[in-house]
Amino acid sequence: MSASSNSPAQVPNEDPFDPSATTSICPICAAPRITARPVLSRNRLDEIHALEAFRPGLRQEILAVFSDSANESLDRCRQALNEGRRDAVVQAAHRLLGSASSIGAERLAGLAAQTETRAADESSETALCALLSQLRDAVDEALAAYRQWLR
Amino acid sequence: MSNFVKIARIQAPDPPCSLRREGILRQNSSNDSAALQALSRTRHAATPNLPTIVTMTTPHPAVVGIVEDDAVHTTLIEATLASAGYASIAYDSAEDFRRRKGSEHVDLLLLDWRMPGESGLALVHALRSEGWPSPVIFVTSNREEAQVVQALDSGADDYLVKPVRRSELLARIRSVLRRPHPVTPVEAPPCESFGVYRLDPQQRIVLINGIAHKALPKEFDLLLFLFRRAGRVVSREAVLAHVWRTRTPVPTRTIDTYISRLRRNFGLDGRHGWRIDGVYLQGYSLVPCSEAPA
Repeated sequence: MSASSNSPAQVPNEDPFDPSATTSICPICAAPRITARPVLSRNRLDEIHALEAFRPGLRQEILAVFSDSANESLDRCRQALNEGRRDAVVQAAHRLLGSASSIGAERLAGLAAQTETRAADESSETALCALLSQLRDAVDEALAAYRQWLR
Repeated sequence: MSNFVKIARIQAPDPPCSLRREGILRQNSSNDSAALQALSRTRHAATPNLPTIVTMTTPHPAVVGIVEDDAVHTTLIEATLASAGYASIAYDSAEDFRRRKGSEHVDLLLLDWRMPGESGLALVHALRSEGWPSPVIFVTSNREEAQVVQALDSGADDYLVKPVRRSELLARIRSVLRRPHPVTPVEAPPCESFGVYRLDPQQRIVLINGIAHKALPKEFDLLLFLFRRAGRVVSREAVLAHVWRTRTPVPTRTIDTYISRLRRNFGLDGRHGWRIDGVYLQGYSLVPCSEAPA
């Protein structure tokens, strides 16, 4: 299954760290979708930054590890869904949820949790495909925000 | 990094303990504590929005094991532990921990719930069944009450939901490490009964009709050996191998002497329903008195 080219339309000039509500449009049904979570939690980023005193290069290390982990989890989700292995989708989504939570990628974590739940409760493949597309976008969004923070 | 602060990297000490990653200890003399506070204020002034991390002034000897398949979480936990002076060892699965726990000691385990292969819940179940004494804290995304209860009932000492805040994690680690953790005693071997005879392997006592009779070590071993093969002929060679644990021939008189002692001191001459018979050219047989000697 190819990555979705229908990125959700976003409110312009969205601050990735702003916890206030933002609105996007679902690429599948075109309905407005409220995303009340920030892309990255400022509090969590500050904690990571403070820990760098005890582990030099930690922030860059986290970026590399998260990028590898998140992309691997996404690939596993997609492959498992193609093969009809819902339990493997649940496992991969759960792992993505953990990674996202660890770096404060709250929006991504919410989507990963939703994917885990939907894969476990026998939701339709169409719905899961839509979620995987959103996950792909959320991972890219989180990585972009993290890189922006590093600068 | 300030010159006032010395950071020592823990190298892996002599076996059996080895570290997958080096831990970082912060060593401070009493003169450096004021310098540390100054450093903290300086750091805070440069980045006013960052939380101030106060380090411990004494090194922690505790080693924390992290069983987690998510590398991001593991990396952050390692850094958090290092900030408080703990050393850590990372395991990427329950199976990885099982393979290495015999040679790598940990004082506390941070355990994920859902992992590929064996789950954290199954691992803590197995560890407690083995009598593994160290405390276990679950750190997991599962937040359902039923799962929390299940984890604690299975033998975990505490439960944290991801994402874990640094101060809370360290406070809970300190809390569980303060508690005494008695080693679960090894279960004593059960007593074995044969008619009116009852043999206690732990205390090496023979009870006959409820009355205790003290036995010498070899007497007890020979008694137990014969009772477990009651009705069968056992050769002298077998007695040597199992009771004296040798294949070197022991003088015949020695075995005969012990057989005589058993008959005399423990009533194995038919008084209490059992009798040791000598089987010509073959060995001995412990039989119930209702059976005729061979």
